[in-house]
Amino acid sequence: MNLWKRQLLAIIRIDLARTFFSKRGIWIYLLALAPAIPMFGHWIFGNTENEQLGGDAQIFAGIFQFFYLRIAIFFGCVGIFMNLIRGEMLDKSLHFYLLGPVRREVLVAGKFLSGLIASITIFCGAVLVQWVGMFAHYSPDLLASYMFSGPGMSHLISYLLAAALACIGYGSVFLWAGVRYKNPLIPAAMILVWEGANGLLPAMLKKISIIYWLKSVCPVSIPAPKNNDGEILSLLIFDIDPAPAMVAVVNLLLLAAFVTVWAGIRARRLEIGYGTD
Amino acid sequence: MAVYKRTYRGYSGPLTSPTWRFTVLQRYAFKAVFKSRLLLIGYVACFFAPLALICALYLNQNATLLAMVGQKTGFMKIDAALFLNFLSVQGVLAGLVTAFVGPSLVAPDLTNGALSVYLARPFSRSEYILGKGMVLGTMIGSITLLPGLLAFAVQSSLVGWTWFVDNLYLGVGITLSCLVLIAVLMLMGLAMSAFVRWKIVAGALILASFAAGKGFAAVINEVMRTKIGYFLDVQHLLSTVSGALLHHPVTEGTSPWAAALALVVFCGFLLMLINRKLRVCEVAG
Amino acid sequence: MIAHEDIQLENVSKFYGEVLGVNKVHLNIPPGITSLVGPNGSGKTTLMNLIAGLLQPTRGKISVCGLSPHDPENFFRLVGYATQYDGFPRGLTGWEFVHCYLRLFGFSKIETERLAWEAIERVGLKEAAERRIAGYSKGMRQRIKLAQAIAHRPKVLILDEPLNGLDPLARAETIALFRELGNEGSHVVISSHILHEVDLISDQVVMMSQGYVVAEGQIRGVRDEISDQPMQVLIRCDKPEHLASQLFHHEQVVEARVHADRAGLIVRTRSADSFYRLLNKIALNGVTIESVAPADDDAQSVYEYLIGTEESTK
Repeated sequence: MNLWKRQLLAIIRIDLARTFFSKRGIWIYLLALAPAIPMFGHWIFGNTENEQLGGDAQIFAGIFQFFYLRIAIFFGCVGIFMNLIRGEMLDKSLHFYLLGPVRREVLVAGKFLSGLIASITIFCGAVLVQWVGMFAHYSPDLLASYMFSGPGMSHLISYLLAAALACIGYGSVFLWAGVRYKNPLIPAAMILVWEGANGLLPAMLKKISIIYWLKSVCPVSIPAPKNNDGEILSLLIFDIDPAPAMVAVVNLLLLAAFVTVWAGIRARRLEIGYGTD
Repeated sequence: MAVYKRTYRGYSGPLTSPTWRFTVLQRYAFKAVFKSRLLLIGYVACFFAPLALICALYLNQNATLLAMVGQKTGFMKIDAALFLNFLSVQGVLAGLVTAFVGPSLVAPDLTNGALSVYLARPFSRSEYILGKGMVLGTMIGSITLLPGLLAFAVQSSLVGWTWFVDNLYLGVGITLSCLVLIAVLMLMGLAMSAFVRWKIVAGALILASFAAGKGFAAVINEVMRTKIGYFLDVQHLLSTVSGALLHHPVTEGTSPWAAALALVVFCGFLLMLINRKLRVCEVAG
Repeated sequence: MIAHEDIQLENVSKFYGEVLGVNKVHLNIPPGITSLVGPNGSGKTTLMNLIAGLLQPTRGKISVCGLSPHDPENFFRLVGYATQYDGFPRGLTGWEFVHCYLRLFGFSKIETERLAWEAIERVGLKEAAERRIAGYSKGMRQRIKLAQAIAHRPKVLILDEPLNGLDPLARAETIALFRELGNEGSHVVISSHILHEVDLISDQVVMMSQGYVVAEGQIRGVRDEISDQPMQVLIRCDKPEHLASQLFHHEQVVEARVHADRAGLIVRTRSADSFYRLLNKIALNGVTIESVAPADDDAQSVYEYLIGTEESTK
């Protein structure tokens, strides 16, 4: 095994343990599993007799697009990926990496991969848990026909793919922000507003966002919710024609590759200047 | 060199009165806050919407302009819905201000052990909280309450005394809504800043609690076919209370009284958090 | 002569925006123990960070044994750096800390474990190695940082305030370790505030003040070059008052005062060599001289002459 591969593996091992088992990361698990709580609650305590599987599939799609992708994975990736570089700056421990015989590009790649493994495991795992929570109360026959004869399995795979792509897309952007900015919260807030206001933008600008491509991978199309409580700046509105799924996947992967390479190049100029706060 | 050799003399100038001593903290905190150029630009940007509203109010009553575009009445209706929408926009900006300013108020003092230095002076914990809170309060008030009342005053001056009297409830509603907003955001900023000592994470948590609260509330409502989820949506609770105060009730969700009660409970929880976290203790070791 | 094994800084400056870190530093550090001395904020840490590649110079060029930090794969095999930052990755034990960063060097698993234990044993932390760093004392944290810095057996070791927080025994052991490394032909660059220890351990010193290097070289050599400060010589003799009266007649002697214990004389002279010749003659006139030794060619005195007592108290 060559040196770069060994170094990548070493970085991944160090960071994975920290991401999965740190107390600071508990809120990410909570965010990922939050939708599952009412789903299981409804299954156990609610009245599910008159519910239609099609209706629940629609509700799941809505939750996935409007809560899971835009909020849970978004903020989860903020927590995981910004912590990889900027978090270590705050902990005053990044210099231990920078004093190793590792190219900065390899360090960024290793950190990105570790963040990716952690985020995909957590968020795709949570999709599976939610899926179970949402549909497990239906009879086994109905469920089997939905999963294996109907669209169930392909929908589930699409959701898992969308969740993984969201981790790749948001992860790369937040890793870059962590390398580039002293306070990466500012770009994160700007991205949140940009992604949220995406529906208000002209068609061309809509495509300069991650959520547009992610929505294109989602199997069920959900119309934008209408506001009726006076909140004219709701961050949850968007309604656009999706791109072909294959194009969306390729574009997101290209975006992630470009941003990660940029972060790697930017990391060459990274200096240690730990502040007091 | 010994202190006495430097001919040290204690401060002998006038002292700030104990009642207003908390404003000292506020003064220095402001200096620190506005050191960031980006934050300053963002804060200035918060005044664009109020400026636009006041201009629109003026143009809406300008007979010459209306005649030029061939309209007899104004191009927009000045009612509770307009002010409610205005407060919603400014409320979102106030949330962003809280996320960026709030964490820098308390978290650095806790991380660097400055709280004990403050409290070693003739300065109480409540004064510390009040001083830091007033920074947020002043900033949020200046982008919500102040422009809201200014817009109301401009409209009153343009239309006349009768409009003012007939719509006085709007002025009262704006004031009370903004005070509720200020109280909630101020406590939220301080609590998160005290709870999470990392400035960046605390800011992210404030942003996330708005977005995630709203989203999670919708998830509960959809999945459980209920409306109890609204109690987790702070934005919705604030809108419901503001709507009731401006006599423009929000049609969906909780009742105004329930929303107000939920906000009181939420504020109580935040106060408890602040009380628990803002303590000076020495760890032997 | 500048050798390829030296640490070389050519006209190096570092500015943090408008704030000066270090300015126009020309240095050539040969193998052995070199101490960086200067008051707080004089630029010692900045200089160390620049040498180790954690900072990039605004101007100038740095090379360590012919290598630059831009070639990290070779550079950091050569360099070990224990910073003054007291941050550690969360949740790790001392052994895990040393071991996990050693893996970045690409050693085999067995080799990594062997090197980690070797370094931990060398700093005397074997018993505490399996405990979490969060529970370590300040001195133990210093030692585990040192272990991490020496674990890959670097040829150049940079240590920022390595003796801070160590108890007297640990200090002695650590100084012995530095000596051992210095004798092995390594570069050991240390920053320290404790001038007495600088005297004990350094082969050469680099004195810094306000971002500038004000002196470099062996302490005695540096002292000789401070011509505006007369040399101090302590003479142990049986009749100090008598000796003082004889010395006052000679123009090389600026000042002579009897030592506080009344068993010696402290003389300040413009020319040490002429003074020693003079002393030989006086010794023949009935004064018994037990010893003659320079009294101000130590780091403390040189520091005071060059940087000043006011600075040192800041």
